[in-house]
Amino acid sequence: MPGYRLTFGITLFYASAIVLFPLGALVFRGITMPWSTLWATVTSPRALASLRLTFSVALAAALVNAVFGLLVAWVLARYRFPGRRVVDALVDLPFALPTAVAGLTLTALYSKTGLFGAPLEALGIKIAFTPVGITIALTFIGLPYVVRAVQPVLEELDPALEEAAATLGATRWQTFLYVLLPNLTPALLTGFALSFARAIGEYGSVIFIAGNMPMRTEITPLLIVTKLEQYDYAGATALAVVMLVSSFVLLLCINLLQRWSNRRLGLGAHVA
Amino acid sequence: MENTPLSVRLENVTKVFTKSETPAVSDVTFEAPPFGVTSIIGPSGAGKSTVLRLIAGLEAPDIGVVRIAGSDVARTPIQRRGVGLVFQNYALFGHMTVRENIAFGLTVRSRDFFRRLLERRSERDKINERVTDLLRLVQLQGYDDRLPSQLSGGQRQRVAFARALAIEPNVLLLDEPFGALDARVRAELREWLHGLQQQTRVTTLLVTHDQDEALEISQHVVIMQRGKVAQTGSPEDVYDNPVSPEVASFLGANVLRGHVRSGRALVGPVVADAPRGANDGDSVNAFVQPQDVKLTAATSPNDGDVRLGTIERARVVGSRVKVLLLLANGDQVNVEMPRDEFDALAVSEGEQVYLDARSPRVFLGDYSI
Amino acid sequence: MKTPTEPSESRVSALADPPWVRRLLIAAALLFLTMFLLVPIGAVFSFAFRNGPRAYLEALCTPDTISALRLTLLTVAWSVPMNLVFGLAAAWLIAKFKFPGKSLLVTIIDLPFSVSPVVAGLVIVLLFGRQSWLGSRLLDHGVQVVFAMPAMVMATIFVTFPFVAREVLPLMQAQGNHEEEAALTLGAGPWTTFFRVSLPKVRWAVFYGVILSVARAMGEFGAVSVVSGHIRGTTNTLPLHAEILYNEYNFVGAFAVASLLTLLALSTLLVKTYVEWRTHP
Repeated sequence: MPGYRLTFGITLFYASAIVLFPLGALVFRGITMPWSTLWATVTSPRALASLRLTFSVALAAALVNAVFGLLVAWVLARYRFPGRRVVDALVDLPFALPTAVAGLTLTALYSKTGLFGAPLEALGIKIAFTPVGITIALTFIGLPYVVRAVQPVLEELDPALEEAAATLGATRWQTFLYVLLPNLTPALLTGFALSFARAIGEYGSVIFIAGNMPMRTEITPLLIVTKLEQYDYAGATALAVVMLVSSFVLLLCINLLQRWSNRRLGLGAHVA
Repeated sequence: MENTPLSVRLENVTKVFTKSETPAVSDVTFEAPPFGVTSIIGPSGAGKSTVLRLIAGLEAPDIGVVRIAGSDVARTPIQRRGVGLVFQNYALFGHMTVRENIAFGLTVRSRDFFRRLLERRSERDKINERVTDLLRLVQLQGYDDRLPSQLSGGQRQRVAFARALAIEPNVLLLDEPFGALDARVRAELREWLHGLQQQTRVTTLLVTHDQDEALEISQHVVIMQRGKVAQTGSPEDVYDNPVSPEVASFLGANVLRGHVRSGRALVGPVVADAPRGANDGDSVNAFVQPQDVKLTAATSPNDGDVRLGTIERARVVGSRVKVLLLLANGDQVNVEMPRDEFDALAVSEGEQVYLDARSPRVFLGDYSI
Repeated sequence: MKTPTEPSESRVSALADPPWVRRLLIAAALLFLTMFLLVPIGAVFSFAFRNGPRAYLEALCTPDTISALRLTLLTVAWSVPMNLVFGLAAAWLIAKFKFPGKSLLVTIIDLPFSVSPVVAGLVIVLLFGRQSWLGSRLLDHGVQVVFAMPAMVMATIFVTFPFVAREVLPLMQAQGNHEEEAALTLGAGPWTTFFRVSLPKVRWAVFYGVILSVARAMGEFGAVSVVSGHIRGTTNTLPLHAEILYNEYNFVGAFAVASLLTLLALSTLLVKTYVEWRTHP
């Protein structure tokens, strides 16, 4: 095949200029920074509170998405009902919708006077400007990941597996638990990890609904922006390095998960 | 494994899949007697697998009755039909070890929670013991902890057998069980299945498109064509007395064209009694199995002798020779004969020989494939 | 041997879930999606039109909004073609050749998906801001990067970097080299082979990748927000403008801008559905 040198040149140059060099520069700054500065920044009460909040709401949102994403994937892959194709297309909406729009509309809906916020407020439940509100925004953002990871696996699963389980005496529920779920687990975990990774870094949709009170509803990306606006470049860099490292780790996990799930799905190819 | 073997009977069963106009299975009636292997054979698309799925309960008949041991099973769910189904692609659970696969049917059955608490230990021991027995039966001792992906095709096949046998099925259903294996493993597994049958004596239904396989390992044969049962009987019976041109040609017979003259069917080299109800001038077909054609040397052939054929091709296949002959009327005839007999003829490609056909079957009408 | 996945009529009751389970699950899924997707989308338009279509149009036709739209489109016009060229080159390289570090390259391409947009913006500020070595040199020569167009384009390129490559690569890998090899043996040159054989085979994936890039480029908020400096009329894209209007309590204005972006998202989904329908009818 021709084009090795040309495409290699373009790809290497572009990937280096856009991704590697800038991110490398950030990491370089992080490691050349005095260790004490880095440590002091990251362990300051405000930063710690923001990290704790960021990771816990991201985790909560990813868990919600794992449960409901599996449900939506199951319904889309297994059942036929009017409007299924529209619903199937709509699942990708959070991928396509600008995050700021999601933030604006969710805030308006869940604020004290909003469509969902007002009745909940009457029950004494506050959503907007609390961690619950942030979780809702992050659930919206991460929704498609689990669905799109699980749905194709569910569609390609050999129906003979379920038939075999049934002839061996398994009930529907046992078949789901012992046969289907283990086959879906890698995809489910991948979707969960993707949704979690995305939620950790999310900014646009959160800042509207979070209220951004330091120590209570301030996420780490926002704290980075705040520090930047105060020309605290060292502080911003320190936090950014923490974020970047967690992205790397998650990306690594996702790659390993995908390898695992490919191996597992590869079984079908041997058999046929 | 001391099950009393049960018969399986289909009565006028029809199954139509929507979106297709012709029924997949149409008015099928046959009985698989208890003991032994009943083979369902036929070309692909004949509805063989659908019959198995109807018996297993994976499909429900639109019309007709499926009976196991004489009773209608329409209201018996798959889980309680007691059928062991071995799938075409095995459908082993990829995330479970060999042992877990085989034990699956036993563990999902013991689901009475309180009983399980009380008897947990002893029950688990019982299951383990049984799985070990089955592993021995399918000659896979020591493979307990392998995953299916770490086994060869033949080994996977045997795990699938063991898994199906674990639940002590009333009926064992095999859907093209050797389809995906190479010739040597197929032959081995056929032998093995025969032995297994002798040991377990479970009523077995085997679906295959390979007539040799069916004739070799079954006591009873059901030939299906286009969703209907074309013929049933013992292997020898269907082989010797095919009821229709289709059956004969599916079983590998040569088709020869000819006609009726003065009460005799003249079909190339074959002369036989005309079928009943045939008039002079009617077209007829004769069916002759390749090994029932006898060749003799033609030392000084007269042109126009209907018994003459030209050797188009002769291929040595092991100890036998497959010969393709061209008749004067353009029909082709496959002949199979022992190699020493062929060598004794001392003929080669392009030369002429006399044909003589033993036990031809003659049918009215012009059948072409 | 895969059987078709359509849950066909061939599944009998014992394998299909009981109707009550099916209905319950469908209802739960639809309720969840309605609460999380449909109502928020509907709300955007209902808020935008709260004071009638006239107020909606007025809110859209302010000079600031128009200049934000212009700037947004300009950012798209810069970033998308560059990512298109890169995406095709990278997909070709990875699909057609074996070389050391290939899986590392794939990981690098995926990286912007998992890096926070805020971090991406920060990196650009650190590199090109007036406090930096590079930024101060560039400023001396009258080139402003941060708080200006160049940084916004860079941020947008970063976040939309993987889209085209990610859409095209799997398809190119699945298709293999046979047709290209045939074209080359028939005497076609490398460029002819690429444009007449390879590109047509992946055109829908390219198209969809571009559409995704456009949607993301127009809607990107975090990264652009960090590098823009929020200068009204100069460095405001549509999403940033919506934020400013919202913070100024111009509710209808904010949602009018948001409704434009929502329409963009909905048309992206429409195109996606169309492309899927074209490729797997």
